[in-house]
Amino acid sequence: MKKTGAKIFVETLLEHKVDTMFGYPGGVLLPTYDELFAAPIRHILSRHEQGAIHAADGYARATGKPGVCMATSGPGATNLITGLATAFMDSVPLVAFTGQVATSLLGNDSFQEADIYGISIPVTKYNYLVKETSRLKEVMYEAFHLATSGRPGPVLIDLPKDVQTRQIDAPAIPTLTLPQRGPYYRDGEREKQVERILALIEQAERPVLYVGGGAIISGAHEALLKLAEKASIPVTTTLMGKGSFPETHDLALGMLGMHGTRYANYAVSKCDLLIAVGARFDDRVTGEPSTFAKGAKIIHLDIDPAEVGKIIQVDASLIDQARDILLELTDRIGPKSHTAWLRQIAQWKKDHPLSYPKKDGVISPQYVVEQIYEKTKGDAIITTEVGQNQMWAAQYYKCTKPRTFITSGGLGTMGYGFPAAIGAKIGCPDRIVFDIAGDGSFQMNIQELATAVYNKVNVKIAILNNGVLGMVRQWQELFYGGRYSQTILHGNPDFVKIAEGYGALGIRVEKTEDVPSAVERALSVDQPVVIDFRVDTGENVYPMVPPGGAIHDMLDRKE
Amino acid sequence: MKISGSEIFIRSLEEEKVNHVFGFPGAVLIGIYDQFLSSGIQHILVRHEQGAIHAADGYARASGKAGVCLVTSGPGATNIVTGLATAFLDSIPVVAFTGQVPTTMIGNDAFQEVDIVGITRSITKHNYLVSHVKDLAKTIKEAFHIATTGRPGPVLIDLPRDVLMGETEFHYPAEVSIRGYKPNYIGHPKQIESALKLITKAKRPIIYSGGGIIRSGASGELLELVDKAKIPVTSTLLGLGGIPGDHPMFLGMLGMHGTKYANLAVTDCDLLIAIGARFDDRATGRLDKFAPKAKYIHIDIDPATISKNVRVHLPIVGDAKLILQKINEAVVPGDYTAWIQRIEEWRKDFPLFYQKSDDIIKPQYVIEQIYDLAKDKAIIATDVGQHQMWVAHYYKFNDRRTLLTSGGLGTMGYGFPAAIGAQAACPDKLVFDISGDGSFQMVLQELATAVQHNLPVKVAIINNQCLGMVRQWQELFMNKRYSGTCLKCAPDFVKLAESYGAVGLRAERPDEVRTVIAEAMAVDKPVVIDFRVACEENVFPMVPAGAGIEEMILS
Repeated sequence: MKKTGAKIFVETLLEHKVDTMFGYPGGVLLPTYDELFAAPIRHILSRHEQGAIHAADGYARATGKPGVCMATSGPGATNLITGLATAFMDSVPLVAFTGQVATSLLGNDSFQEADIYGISIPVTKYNYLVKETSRLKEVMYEAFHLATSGRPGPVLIDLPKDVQTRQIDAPAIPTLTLPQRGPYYRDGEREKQVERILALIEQAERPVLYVGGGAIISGAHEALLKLAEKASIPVTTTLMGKGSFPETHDLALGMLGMHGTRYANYAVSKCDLLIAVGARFDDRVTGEPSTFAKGAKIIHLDIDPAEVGKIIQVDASLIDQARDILLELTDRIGPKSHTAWLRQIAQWKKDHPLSYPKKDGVISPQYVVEQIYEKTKGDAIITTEVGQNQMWAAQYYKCTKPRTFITSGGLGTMGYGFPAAIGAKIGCPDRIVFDIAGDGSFQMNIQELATAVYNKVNVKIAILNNGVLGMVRQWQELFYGGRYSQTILHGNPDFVKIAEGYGALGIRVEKTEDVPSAVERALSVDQPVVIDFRVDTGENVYPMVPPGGAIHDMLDRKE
Repeated sequence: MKISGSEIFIRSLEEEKVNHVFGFPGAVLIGIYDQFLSSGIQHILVRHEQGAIHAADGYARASGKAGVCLVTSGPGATNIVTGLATAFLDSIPVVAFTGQVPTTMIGNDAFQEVDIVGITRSITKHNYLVSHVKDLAKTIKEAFHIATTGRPGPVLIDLPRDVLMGETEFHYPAEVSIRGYKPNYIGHPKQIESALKLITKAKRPIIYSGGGIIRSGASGELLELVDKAKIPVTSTLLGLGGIPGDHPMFLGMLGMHGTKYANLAVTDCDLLIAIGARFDDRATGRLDKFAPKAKYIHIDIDPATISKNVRVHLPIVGDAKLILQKINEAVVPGDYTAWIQRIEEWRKDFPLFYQKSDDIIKPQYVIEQIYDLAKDKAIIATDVGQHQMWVAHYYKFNDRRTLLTSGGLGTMGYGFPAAIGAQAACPDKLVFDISGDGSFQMVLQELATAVQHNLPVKVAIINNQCLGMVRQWQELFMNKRYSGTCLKCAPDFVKLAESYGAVGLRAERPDEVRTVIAEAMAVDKPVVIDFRVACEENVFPMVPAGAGIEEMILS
């Protein structure tokens, strides 16, 4: 039986158990949208393609399944670039489909033609331009495999219009013939590395686990807990690693790096063994790399061999799934106590807790995050935007489970959090999903309120509204003599009225004592809610490592 | 005296006489932003970087000067990709600056690092990653030169943080010379001579004019040729305004949604004179049925467009204005009276029309009324889709640089920020964005920008509660299976406007249309008008995809 490319497309999605996708139609996608019309796939229409891809990304991070999005050719495709780069930097499995002009028109500067294949090369794990309908099914199988295996990442498939309309004999389910890299270790070499790692852990007196997003992606949270407890190793996580280790645990140090806790940064600076798990020594973590964990032996456990030795020379490494490695190490390591080291860390925790001043009459943004934590009992899925709101969320919302803290870490994309929250809520309808946002970030994708309302996606948006681009403002205060150039957002909208204009609930909070009840009210209603928290404009994120500094050298609020 | 890269940046823009920069700050640009405080250059803070680049583009289209935008590294940079592609396909001079992580960190996947030079290679005329502060001034000079000369286009300069912090002597070059980049402006005299002969010999000539007429400032010369030689003119979407829209020899737009008489004339002509146009698929339809009886003259500044989509018989590479001057000096027209008569009959037989209504607002009626009230005072920006085509049909553009529309890339969400940019460039003009409910939602956050900077742009939303053009195709070709095109859940645009501190108006009946337009024009503030129009109105005439342009569906 003959089938069109569009039909094959939909069937292949169903073969991959795709039940939800995010997209925006256009002229060249008409054949595919016509097939989707009757397909058992929920298509969430966004209001800007950027909203579609961030939602697919949030869906993927919350569920662990690949996110699927679709946009038309030309501007639809280019509107995905930020979302692709966001997913790429944070290793999120996405399959993005773009419409393309007919193959006969390629290269003609046709209407809504863009070379999305060329444009997206630096921001995808892999990408395809499908020129033959007969290749479509195989390409889709490859794409889902590539997006979700190894180090996950976004894969883009460009679909010319004639590829969608052409009829071919129905193709069989393909057998993938992708060339395999590796194995990374010849006979016995892996075992040698493992022994070396075990010996380093065995000898260490002041070890620290430095855990990144890779631990969450590989489902290593239980293995991590076992290893940390058995070997008494304190754990610090990156922003992406939040949720891989319960932050309420005694061994938890919270986040490290530029806005990490003092005790995490001290522990890393003073440790004699740093075990990096699924982390990549990003500059926001390491500060000046030559000062990072100076004097310590470093072990790097990662799925991606390209990461090992990229930023920092390491003493031992293992290329594998974090979960598998950690389970193996836990089995083979003897119990440890590290009493003196843990006592030292406890002292640091006592001496340098995260803190903020409680001021009268003005809402502290940190207090808002704390209240959200309280009222959701630490059990919500939190998404964030980028900037101060993101750092306060990371500092004051304690995560205990993986896939509950969803944020753009690598690319730092303002406007990510709200559409990601929509995707997360659709992926996990029974969870509370809160977007902790800034007034600057939220405005970037505010149009997605229509998507949330129409699809009854009951996300809660907490705007920490300080009326400024707070993080840049903070840098201007600290390093540019308080010269606030272009960081004050005159002309901010009335967020409550906007929410109402979309048919969502808007709540404004101007007094500290109203914060808890506002959060409660937002949680009690079954609709999207925007809460406009009017917070202290002058509040900064502390502690802070000045750019290019060593991470134990942190600035604090002047008392 | 040595000064910092950030200061060199500002001083270079001052040398280029830049008055406005559209941007959004970020950590790596903090040094540059500090310099704005001591410069006379006005920085217009947007609410999404896509707004910045479209505004710079609108500024350039309205003023003829290069538009400038400035955004941070990583997501800031990737957020301007659509705007670069939009400007690139329409040949708009834009210089876009992006922040970048320090050169020592490039390639590390550093925070907010992205390879924007790699990403934008295919959608910029040229791009640079500045690796040393010593190269900065020269690079900026080159960028403005490349963006504004030859066939204009966007140029991107990526600015690593350490380059901005480095110091060197400031010297802004007076001249640039770039190997391999010497645009040719003077048309070849022999080719011009041959063109003159073809014009004299022709019985049924037609001019097919594009955006190049506007970019080169050749509308006066075009008008002179038309008046002198009595050659009828059709125009692409981007060419509208190149010749007065009410000129008797003007046939309106050609192509997929062109007028039937323009398309018939093109199909039947024996000489097609393409000026600053590139034979886009939306203009030509099926290529083998496009002007099949004609010889083609193609006048264009860009040799790469010659014979790219169709074989042309006589190319003239150069600046449209200079070439038309030469042609005007010597043109000896043939006798085209019969031809013009035939076209006039087509014009009478197949006029643009729509079913008028007293009960429900027809989108075409809104545009006619805006034209009637705003006429020669206004700059019109559009978004993309049905409303864009209705503007092309029912708004007569009598002046160049009065229509700002994304023709090549077809970018929804272009119009409103472009209107903001145009208003910044032309503070005394009335600027209207005629938009759709789908398009406007893509960039509505820029209402804050318009309000903050007192840019009193008027937004007319042709609100049909759907993605109208795709819906139209679904109606005509997919048996009304409306998949993914219903926007029933739209915001209350009036309330939305008010929540931003703008004025919101609504018209639900035809008799309210003129009143609200007049009301909008009377206030010195940004205004959003929600025109509740007939939902299932279609754009006609229409050439189905893949058909020849004379095979039009008329209603």
